[in-house]
Amino acid sequence: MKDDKLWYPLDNAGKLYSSIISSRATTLFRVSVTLTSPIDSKLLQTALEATLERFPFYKVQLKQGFFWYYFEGTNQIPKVEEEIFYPCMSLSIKRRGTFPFRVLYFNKRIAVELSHSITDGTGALKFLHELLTNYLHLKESVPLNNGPIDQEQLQLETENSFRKYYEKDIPALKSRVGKSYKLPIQLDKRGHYHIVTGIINVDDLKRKAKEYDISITTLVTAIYIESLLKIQEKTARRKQPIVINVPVNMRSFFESETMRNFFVSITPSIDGRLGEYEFEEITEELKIEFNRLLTPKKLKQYIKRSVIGEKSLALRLMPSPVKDILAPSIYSFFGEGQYTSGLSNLGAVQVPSEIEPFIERFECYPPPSIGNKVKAMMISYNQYMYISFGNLSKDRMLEREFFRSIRKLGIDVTIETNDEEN
Amino acid sequence: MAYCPKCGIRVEKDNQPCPLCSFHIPKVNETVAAETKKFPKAANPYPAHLRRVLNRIFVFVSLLVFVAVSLMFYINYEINEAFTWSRYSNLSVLAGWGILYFSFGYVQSYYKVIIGIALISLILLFGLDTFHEGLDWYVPLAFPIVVGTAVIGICYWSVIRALSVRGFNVIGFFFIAVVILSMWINFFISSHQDETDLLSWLIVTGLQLLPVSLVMVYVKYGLPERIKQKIARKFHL
Repeated sequence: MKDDKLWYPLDNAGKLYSSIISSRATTLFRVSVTLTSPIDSKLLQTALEATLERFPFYKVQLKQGFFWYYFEGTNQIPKVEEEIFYPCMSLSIKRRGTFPFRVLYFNKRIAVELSHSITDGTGALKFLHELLTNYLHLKESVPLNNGPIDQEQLQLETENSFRKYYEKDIPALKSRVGKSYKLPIQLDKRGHYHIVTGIINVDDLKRKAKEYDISITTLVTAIYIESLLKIQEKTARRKQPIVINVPVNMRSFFESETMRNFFVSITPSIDGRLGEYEFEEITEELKIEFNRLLTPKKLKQYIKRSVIGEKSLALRLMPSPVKDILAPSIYSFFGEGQYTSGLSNLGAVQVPSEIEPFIERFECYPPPSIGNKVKAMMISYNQYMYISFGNLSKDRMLEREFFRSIRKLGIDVTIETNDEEN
Repeated sequence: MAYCPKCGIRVEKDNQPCPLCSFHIPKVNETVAAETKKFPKAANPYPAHLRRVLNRIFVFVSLLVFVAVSLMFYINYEINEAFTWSRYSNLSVLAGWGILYFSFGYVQSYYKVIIGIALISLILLFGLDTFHEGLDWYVPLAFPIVVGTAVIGICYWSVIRALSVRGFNVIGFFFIAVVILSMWINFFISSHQDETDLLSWLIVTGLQLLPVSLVMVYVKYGLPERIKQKIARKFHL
């Protein structure tokens, strides 16, 4: 098969994201790894080329079809770049000759920024892991243990798992969230994106979570909601529910090796109108909510709801430029407009013992979004959990409240931000 | 390692504002460790990109204007063997092109933009008046109205720049400017038509400012804070 003949349609999440791309909502999110020594850009370039050999379906560019966008194979080779922009900014993946991702380096850090139209956090981490292994193989002669890739494996990695687990007869989820509380903050200039990363010891978090008999994700979500409730108390005259968008990695519930999007969003919420909540009440409610929703049966309903949109004939027949015009408002009304903010957990990263000595940390930044100006994403590696807030506004009210709440639980936090250099 | 006394969080660098609450974290480390930067000094390519797009549009429009003007002169001369109607259309097109130049941000100062657009309008109106059997309405009407508009525009901009609190004042002064401008225009039209006694006319129109001022004074001092907040939220600039 000639490379420029290779193409594949986007999955349903990708279809939505490709239509809402703008200079602010770039749909780019970042996963990065910081090593113990400065990055050699030439070796990184070679490693990237080797990685794309392994994942040929990422050697594509986004093209606009008459009805839908699609990814088309290309013979061009993406170049690694030194980081000069704000994170997750200043890459228009619709422009000719650009890839739906970019690989950046800065001092000791390798960062991969991918558009959500091509993959989700899990796919991004696999890509970063492969890139890292290839780089360390060249730089530190760490042995590679991957053999040649067969067609069957490629097939599994490019499958549209949403479609695989879609069942026609399952009733779609009907629940609409309705209005939710929005942070009263203003957008900063175009092209600016403010990151605040909190570094927390995982053991401290674990101990605290055990006290409440919940998981770390539930604990962090509870603290997040509590902070938002406090902010609402201070700023809003009329209270509204706090709704958090929590993406769920479906690979943990359904057998899949796909490197494309395979997640659904659940939306735990606490209604501020019902009165003041104690922290224990929030954790209790979240625990029940997570247990209730996170079962394969329930999640199939979410899959049905994700897929049903792209199956509707009216939507399919609409020319893609028209979709581009309508999608942002539809998304802000039915999608992120219903949430107060988003919190995503990429989980714990594990690397083989032979590359561990060269790695300092992993981090991830959420994609910028106009409807939810502040979002958070977390990842843990070895001893530490890295919670990064991405913020399109200069106002740090949520970050401040959140990390102060963590401090009040008796957990130490170290803060880093990308604004110090500017 | 330094701590923010307000947030309780730990930061790597001391002697600078806390990244969360901007409280100045005091200097605690005596030795300054040579530290590698975690982030680059970020560049923002959007202004440059916008400039490029605007430049492209302007060059394209300029070429179009050049072609249109030449074409109209040519057609006019071919048909009438003199420049007749094409003078009107071409002057208008060129004036439009000039205004585009000023509105595309090539001139940074708003004062210069206002003066530039006023000059273009003066030339346009002068041309249109003289082409039609000599000067008629230019001196009594067009000239004072354009100059008045420019002067009021400049005054408005100076006041806005000098304001310490903008918000509603911007709208308030805009109304005042519009009222003064209307009076100014009305004055010249009325005097041109020789219809009214100018002195009583001035008093009558001046009184029209009164209700506007009263409403503004009420909004500033009489309106409950809650409603003010609500209006500020809905209409913030």
